[in-house]
Amino acid sequence: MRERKTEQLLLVEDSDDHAELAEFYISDYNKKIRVNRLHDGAEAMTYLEQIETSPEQNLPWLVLLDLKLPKYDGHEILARIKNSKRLAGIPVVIFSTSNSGKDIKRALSSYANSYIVKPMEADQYGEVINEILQYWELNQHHLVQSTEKCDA
Amino acid sequence: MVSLLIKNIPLKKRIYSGYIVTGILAFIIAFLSYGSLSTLADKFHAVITFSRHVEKIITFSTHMSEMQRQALIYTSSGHNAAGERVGEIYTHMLQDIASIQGKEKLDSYEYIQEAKKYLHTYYTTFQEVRKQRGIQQRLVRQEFRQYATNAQLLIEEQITSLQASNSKKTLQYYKMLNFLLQIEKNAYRYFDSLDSTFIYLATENIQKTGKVIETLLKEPKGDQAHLEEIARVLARYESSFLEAVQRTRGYLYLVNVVMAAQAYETIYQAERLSTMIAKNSDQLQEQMLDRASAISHFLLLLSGILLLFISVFSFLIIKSITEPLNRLSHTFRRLASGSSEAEIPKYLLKDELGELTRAAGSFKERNIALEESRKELSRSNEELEQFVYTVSHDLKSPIVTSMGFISIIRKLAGQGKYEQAVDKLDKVVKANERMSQLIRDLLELSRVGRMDMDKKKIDLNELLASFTENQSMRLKTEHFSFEITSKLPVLYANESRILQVFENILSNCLKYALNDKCGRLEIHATEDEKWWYIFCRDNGPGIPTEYHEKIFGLFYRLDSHTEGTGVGLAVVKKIMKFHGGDIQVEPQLQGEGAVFRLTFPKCQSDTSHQAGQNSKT
Amino acid sequence: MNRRSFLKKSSKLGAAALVTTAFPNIIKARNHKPTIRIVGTHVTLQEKIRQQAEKDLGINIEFYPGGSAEVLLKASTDPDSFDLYEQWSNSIKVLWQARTIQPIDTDRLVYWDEINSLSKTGRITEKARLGLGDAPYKLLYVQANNRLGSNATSQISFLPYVHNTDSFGYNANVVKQGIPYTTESWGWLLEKRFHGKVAIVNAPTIGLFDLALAVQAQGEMQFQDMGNMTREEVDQLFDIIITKKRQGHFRGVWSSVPQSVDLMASGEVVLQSMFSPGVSTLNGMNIPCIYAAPKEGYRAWHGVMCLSRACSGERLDAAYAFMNWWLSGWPGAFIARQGYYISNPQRSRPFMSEAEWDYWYDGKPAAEALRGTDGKISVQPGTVRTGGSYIQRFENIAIWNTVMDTYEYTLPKWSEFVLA
Repeated sequence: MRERKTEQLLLVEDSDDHAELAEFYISDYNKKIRVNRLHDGAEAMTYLEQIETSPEQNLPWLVLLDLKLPKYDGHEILARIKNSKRLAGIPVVIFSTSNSGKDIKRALSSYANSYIVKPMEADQYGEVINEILQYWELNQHHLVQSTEKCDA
Repeated sequence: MVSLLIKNIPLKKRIYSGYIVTGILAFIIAFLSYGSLSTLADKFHAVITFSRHVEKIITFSTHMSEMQRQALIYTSSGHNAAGERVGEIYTHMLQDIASIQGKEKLDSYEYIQEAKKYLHTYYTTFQEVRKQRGIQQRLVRQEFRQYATNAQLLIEEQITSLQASNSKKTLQYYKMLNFLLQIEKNAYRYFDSLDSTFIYLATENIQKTGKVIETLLKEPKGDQAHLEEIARVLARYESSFLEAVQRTRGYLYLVNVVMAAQAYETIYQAERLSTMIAKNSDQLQEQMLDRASAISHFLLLLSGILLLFISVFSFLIIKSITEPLNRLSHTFRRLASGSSEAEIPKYLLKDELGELTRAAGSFKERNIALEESRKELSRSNEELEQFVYTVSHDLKSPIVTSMGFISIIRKLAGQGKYEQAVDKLDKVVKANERMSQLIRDLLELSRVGRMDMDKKKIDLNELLASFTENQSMRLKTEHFSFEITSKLPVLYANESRILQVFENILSNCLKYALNDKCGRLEIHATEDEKWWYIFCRDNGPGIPTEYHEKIFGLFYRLDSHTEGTGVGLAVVKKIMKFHGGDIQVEPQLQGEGAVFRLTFPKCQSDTSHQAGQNSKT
Repeated sequence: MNRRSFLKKSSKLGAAALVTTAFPNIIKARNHKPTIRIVGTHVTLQEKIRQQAEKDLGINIEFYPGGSAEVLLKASTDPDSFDLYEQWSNSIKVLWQARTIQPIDTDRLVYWDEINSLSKTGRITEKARLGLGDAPYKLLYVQANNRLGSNATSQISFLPYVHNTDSFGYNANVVKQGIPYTTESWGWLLEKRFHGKVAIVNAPTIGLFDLALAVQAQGEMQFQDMGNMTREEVDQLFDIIITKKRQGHFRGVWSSVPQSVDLMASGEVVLQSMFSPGVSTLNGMNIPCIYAAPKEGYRAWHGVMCLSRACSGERLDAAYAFMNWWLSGWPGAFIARQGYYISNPQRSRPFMSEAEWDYWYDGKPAAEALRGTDGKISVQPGTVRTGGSYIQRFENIAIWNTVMDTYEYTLPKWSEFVLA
C-alpha cells in the first residue's frame, strides 16, 4: 500500500503558480505523494506515449489535468488517455478555472472521472485538493484491495 | 429543331409568332378551301350550262318536229302563216345553235355542226318547196285556169258564130267543150287527191280535144285561124297542167323525202348531242361529286394536319414558356425557403423570362449574402463566446493564483513561518500585476475597430522605413535585423494600427524566433488581381503546422514561460480583419522559419466597412 | 340471142366507130363549137368524162350535176334549161308524162344494134328472170299512141347506157359473211340482230323496194305486183316498216353516197342499202363492206340519157354525137372501173385490160391490183366481185327502181317513215 502510494500523481499544469499551489497542498495532504508535473500539452502527450508503450513503467494513479494548455489542450489529452486501452483506467480529474458548461459536458462525455473548478475563494484551494486526494486515495485503496484479492 | 428555334425567340415574339403561325395556317386552309371550292363551282357551273344545253337541245328536237309539222301544213294547205312559222322556228333554232356553239368546247361541236348542216339543207329545201309550191299555185290558180277559160271562150265563141248552121260542126265543138271540162275536172281531181290516174285521164282528154281539132281542121270551110288559136291555147293549157303536176310532185318529194330526212338527221344529231351532253354532264357531276368528296377529305386531312401542327407548335411554345417558368417557380420556392444553393436555370434571352431569371439570380445572391452574414453572425457569436470563455478563464487564473497563495500565506503565517509567507506575497503581487496587464491588453484589443480607425493612404515603404528607424535600438540589442526586400504597396488603412501589426509581428519574432544566429525578419510583397500579399519571414525554428490557427487565439501562447499575455497576434488578426484582410501562417518545411502572410484587399473602401461592422458585432 | 352470140356480135363491131361519132364537119363549116348543156347526177357527170368528150368530139360541154330530185324537177318543168338529161330509168315516166323530152331516133344511134337485150327485152339471157317494176324495156319504145311501151319502134325515150344492180352492203367485221344467192337475203334488213344499225336509201322509188323485198323475204306480207303496189299494199308495207322504225330498228335513211359511207365507217350502221361507189370507198378505207347478192335477186337500176324537147338543130346534132360517144367504148371502160356496166360492153373491152375485164365483167378474181378512175388501187389482187359476172348479176333481178302509180301516195307515207 505504501509503495502504491508512492506512485506518482500526474499534474498537467502550464501555470507555474497553479502548479506550486497544487503541489503545496498535495504535499500538505500527504508528503509521500509524488507529483510528476508536466508543463504543457505536448509534454503530456510525449509522456503518455512513453508509458503506454513500455509495460514495465508504472502508470500514474491519478491525473490532475488543466484544460487550457499550450500546444495541446486538456480535452485532447483526456481523449488520448481514455482512448488508450492501457491508459483508460487511470482516473483523470479535470482541474480547471473554466466553469463553462461546454467544457464540463465535453470532459465528462470524454470519460473524465471528475471535474473540479479551481476555486477563487481564499482557503478553498487546499480543501479542494484534499477532497480530491481523499476520494481518489480511498477509491484507489479499494481498487487495490479488490485487485489483490483477485490476484490471490 | 423547332423547339430549338422557339427557344431562341423572345417570349412576346414567341406568343405573337404562335398567333401569326396559327393565323397563317387558318388562312392557308381558307385559301385552299376557296381554291378547291371555286374549281368545284366552275364544274357546277359547267353542269348547269350542260343541263341548259340539254334543255335547249330537247327543245331543239321539239322545234324540229314542229317545223316539219308546219312545213307539212304549208304543203298541204298552202297556208302562208305556216310557211312563215317554219322560217321563225328556223331562225330561233339557229340562235340556239349559236348560243350552244359559243359556250361548248367539247367534242360535241361536231354533232352541232352536223345538225346545223342538216338544218340548213332542210331550210334551203323548204325555201325551194315554197318556191315550187308558189309556182304550182300560180299555175293551178291562174295560168291553168286562164287557159281553160280562154279555150272555153274560144270554143263557145265558135259555137255562137256557127249558130246551128252546121250542126255537125257544132256538135264537134260541144264535144271539145266537154273534153275541156273533163280535163279541168281531172286536173283538179289530181291536185286534190294526188292520184296520178287523174293525170292520165286529163292528158287523155287533152289528146281527145287535139284529135277533134285535127278533125275539124280537115273540114273545108275555114275557121282554120280559130282552130289553130284553140290548139295553141290547148297546148299551153297542157303544158301548164303538166308543169303544175311536176311542181306538185317536186315539192311533195322535197317535203316528204328530202326535208323529212334532213329533219330526221337534225333531230337524230340533236338527240345524240343531248345524250352525249347528258353523259358528259353525268360524268362531270360524278367528277364533281368525286372531287367534292376528295376536296372535303383533303380539307379534313389538311385541317387535321394543321390542327396537329398547331397543337404541336402551341405545345412547344407553351412548353418553352412553362418549362422555364416551372423551373423558375421551383427555384423561387427554394429561394423563398432561404436556400442559397437553388439552381438558377440557364436562360440567355433578354425577355420577361430572362428578367425573371435574373430576378431569381439576384434573389439567390441575396440569399447567399444572407447566408454569409448568418454564418458570420454565428461565427462572431462563437468568437464572442470563445472570447468570454477565454477571458473568464485567463482572468480567473491570476485570481485563483492570488487566492491560493493568500491561503498559503495565511497558513504559513499561522504556522509562524513568516519569512516563507512573505516570500509568497511576491507571488500574489505578480498575479495581480499579470491581472492588470491582462486587463490592459484586453482593453487594447477592444479598442481595435473602435478607436482611431480613420483610414488614409499609407505608403507602406515609408511607414516601415520609419518603423525600422524607431525600432533600431531594440533590434540592435537583440541582434536582430529587419529587412524589406521588395517594393511595398500603398494601402488605404489606419496608420497606427498597421504600425501595431508590424510591431506585434516583430515582437512575436523576437520572442519565439531567436536562435544562435542573428535573428532576421524579412518583408516582401506580391499581388494578384484582388489582393496585396505581404510576407513576413523570420529565420527562427518555425511554427509547427498544428499551431498555425491556434496562435491567433486570444491569450494563446505556445510557451507559457515566455513573457506576454498571448494577445499580440490576436490583435494583429483583428486589425487585419478590420481592414478586410487577414493574417495566416504560410506552411513551411521544418526549420525554414515562420512566414506570416498579410492579405490586403486592393479595393478597400467596401471591405473595410464590412470588416468594421463585423468587428462591432 | 344468147349470151355468147351477143358478146361475139359486140366484139366484131370494133373500135373504128369513133370516126363516125366525131364532129369535125360542124367545126369546119361554122368555125365555132356548139355547146350542149347536160343536167344529171354525179354518177355520170364526172369531170374526166366531160374533158374526154370535149376532146373527142370537139364541142363544148357543160355539166350541171345535182341531186336526183332537183335534176328531175328541172328536167320535168323546164326543157329549155338543158339539152341532155342523164338519170335513172325510173324518171322516164315522169319526164315523158311531163312532155319535156323528145323521142330519140334509133337510126341516128351508131351503136344501137350493139345495145344488149337487157335494155331491149328485159332479159340479158333467155333464162334470166324479168325484173318487176319499171324495167327499162317497158319504157324504151315510143308507141303509136305516144305512150311508152315494150313494142320495138324506131323511136326510143332514152338512150340505154350505164346500169347496175344494187343491193345492201354489210360490214363483215360485224356481220358473219353469207353465201351469195344462197343465204344472203333482203330479209337481213329487218333481222333483229341488226337492231338500230340498219339504214335505207332515202328515195321512195328505190329504198321502198329494198324494204318491200325485205318484208316479203321475212314473210310478213306478199305483193301482187311489187313493182306496182296498190294503195292497200302501200299502207300495209308502211305499217310494218314504220312500226319497226318506231321500235328503233333503223338508224335512219341516207341521202347521199358519202353519208352512207360515213354511217358504216363510224359504226353507226352495219347493214344498209348501198350504191356501188359507197362499197368501193369503204373497201378503200379497209372496211370490209360486202355488197350482198341476195337470193331474192337484185334491185337494178338503169341510167337513161334523154333529149330535151327544146333541143334542136346544131345542138341536137351535138347531143346525138355525145350519145354515140358514150357507147363508143372509152366511157364504158371508164365507168366499168367504178363498178358500172355499159349497155354495149364489147365496145369498151378494148379500152380495158384483160384483168379489168375479167374482174369487172366476168366475175373472175382480180389477177392484179386494179385502179379506180381516181388512179388509186381499188381492187386488191385475188378479190372477186360479189354476185359474180355481169351476166349472172343481171340474170337475178328482182325489181327495177320504179315510179309507181301510187308514187304521190307513198310520199307522205315515206315522210312518216323517215320521221318515225
